[in-house]
Amino acid sequence: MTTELPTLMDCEEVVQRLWPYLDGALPEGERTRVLAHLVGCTGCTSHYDFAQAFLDAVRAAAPAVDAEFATLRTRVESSLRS
Amino acid sequence: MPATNGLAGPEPGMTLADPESFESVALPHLPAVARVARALTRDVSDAEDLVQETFLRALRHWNTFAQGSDCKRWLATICRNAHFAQRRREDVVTAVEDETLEALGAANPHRSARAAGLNDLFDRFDLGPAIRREIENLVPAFRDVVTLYDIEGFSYEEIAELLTIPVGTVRSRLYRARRLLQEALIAHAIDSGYGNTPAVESK
Repeated sequence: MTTELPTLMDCEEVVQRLWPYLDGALPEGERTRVLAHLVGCTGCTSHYDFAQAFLDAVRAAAPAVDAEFATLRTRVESSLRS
Repeated sequence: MPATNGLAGPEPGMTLADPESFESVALPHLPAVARVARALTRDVSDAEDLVQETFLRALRHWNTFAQGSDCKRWLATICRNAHFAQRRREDVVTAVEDETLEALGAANPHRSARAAGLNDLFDRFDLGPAIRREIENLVPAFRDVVTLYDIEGFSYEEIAELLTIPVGTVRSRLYRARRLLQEALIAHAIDSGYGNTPAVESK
């Protein structure tokens, strides 16, 4: 029995799928092909690492953003009680 | 990305919420609702009115909220419905936004950062204040999508439904917003004197 190997992706195809790959939004077959490319390509892996670090930094910055809504929360709480 | 489960409300057979739990369960989602409202209205004052209306509606219908289900998404749906109930949707002419083109540019900021000796920019520095500032500086169409996706964890499809725009437009705006944010943060680091090594471009 033979197993059909997936078609290899080149760097441009992988870069084009970098965000949806990081977002977990690629179909399973494409996700596997991107992963297979990343394993053997240090250039694309470094793009991946940079993009992942960026997303982590954005998500880590989020809680402090919520402080801007403190006044609005007070207003909403007041309206709910009235 | 966190898994998302659509915008559905309570399902049959689930336990309904305790009336006393509104403040502790619903109100903590106010920042998320405010971001949805801002994305829908594009106006600070209108957004605040919409948030208030959303929570008033939510309180009125709290007895229909299924305990343990996703309150943030339940509130987001109420917010969206309240918005479209308040005003008829205006037709917005949106410039063609090319998802594929944006996706192809995903690695450009990294190439710029590497050339400036900032390959480890996001690991080396605390960029929290700069990130918050640059998100606010984005054009609203980009800011809305990046906050709803990267901060609030809504899915592409949920944002498309909330903002009544195609999923492809959500992706295009999200990828562009991330690129713009990265470029702004790299410029911020260089301006602060952290970019140092000569530009050496590899792949």
